[in-house]
Amino acid sequence: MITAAETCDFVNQVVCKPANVKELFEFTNFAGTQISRTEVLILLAAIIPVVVVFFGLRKKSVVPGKLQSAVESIFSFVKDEIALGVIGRGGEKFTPYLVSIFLFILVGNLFEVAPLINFPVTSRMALPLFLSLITYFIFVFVGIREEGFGYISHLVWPPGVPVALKPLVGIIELVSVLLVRPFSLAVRLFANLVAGHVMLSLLLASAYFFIVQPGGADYILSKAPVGLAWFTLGLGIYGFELIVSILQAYIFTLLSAVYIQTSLHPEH
Amino acid sequence: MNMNLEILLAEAEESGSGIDLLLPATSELVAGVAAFAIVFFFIWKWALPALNETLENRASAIEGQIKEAEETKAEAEKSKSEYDELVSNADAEVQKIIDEGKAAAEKIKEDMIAEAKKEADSIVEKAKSDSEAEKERVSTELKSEVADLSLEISQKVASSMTKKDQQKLIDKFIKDMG
Repeated sequence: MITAAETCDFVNQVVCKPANVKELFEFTNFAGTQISRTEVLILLAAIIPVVVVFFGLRKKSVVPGKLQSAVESIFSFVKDEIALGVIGRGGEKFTPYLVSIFLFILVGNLFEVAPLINFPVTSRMALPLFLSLITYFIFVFVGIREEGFGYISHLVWPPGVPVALKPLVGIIELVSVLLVRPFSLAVRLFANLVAGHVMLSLLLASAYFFIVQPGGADYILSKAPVGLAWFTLGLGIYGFELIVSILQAYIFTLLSAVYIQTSLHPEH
Repeated sequence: MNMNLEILLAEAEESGSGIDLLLPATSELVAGVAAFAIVFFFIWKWALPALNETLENRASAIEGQIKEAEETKAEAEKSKSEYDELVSNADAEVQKIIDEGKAAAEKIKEDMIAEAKKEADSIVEKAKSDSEAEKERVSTELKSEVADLSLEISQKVASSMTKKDQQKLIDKFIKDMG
């Protein structure tokens, strides 16, 4: 944003659309194709966890080092607290999927606060939607595998509900499970990251524009304190967004496990 | 002001409607599928088996160390019981030595007392014997002295007596002797 805005005239131009804005986000002639910065970052969000996990578990030491301990802690956390803790019996076979989405979303989210990147790939709808659709297909598949046609019929005609309420609850349940769940899962992640990204961008870019600005010394002195205030607030939000990034990865993984659990153990 | 508003509206129209922001870009979707496939297959095929292997190795190493520690502990307990036994035997041995020492000392004491008593008796006996001999000697000397003195006295008396008185005295003496 700052690089793009450098072509703008702050004093005389009210609305500025930088001429080079597309060049900043797209790499032309990349292996003969046009590949965007977002796509490169999505691939980077896959490569980083793979490299970190590879170097963490490469030695397979009985007495683990710092990196191995960290990787083992993440895996153990997802396996014990989410896969086994939430899904329970039979949850172990979903561990690879849950660990994968947790790491992938975590790295994608952390790009928001990563210096020189400052762009969470999960703030683009493609990634949250794709991941929530995988979760959706898994829990629907597991539900049909466990109960057969009963999975759908239990949604439409829920057992244990007074007959008079069954049609209403059935519709709510059907819409809630088969339509709202994947959508809410995707939008929750997407909206949180978009909001954080926009907030951080506005605060830090405003700080920059108010501090580093054209004009004389008097002009700079009159606006710089405002810029410092934005910068201070931006730093606070920066820390907050770090927590949000980790939390949203955890929530997405946890809800995926909860949805799988409701299909795997419908009696609960 | 109106010009600015017109520019803003034109920009908004150009950048598309709000729903466009919610629709995923196909290229990003493809990149997302490829990226997630990489992560998933890596985690599924390599990372989790590697982690499980590491955890199994660690568990067996810990079990081995616990077993080794238990064996060492059992060995230490055995050594301790042997040591305790040795110490208790040593106590008995020491007590035996002390008892023997006491008995020997008691015997030596008794022997010394008996010896001393014997020696004392012998000294007393010798002293008695010496005393008797001295007494005999003194008595003999005294008798001799008395005899000499008697002789001297008798000579002096005889010289002052008449022949008749002397004969009379001798007779009386013989008579008394008889």
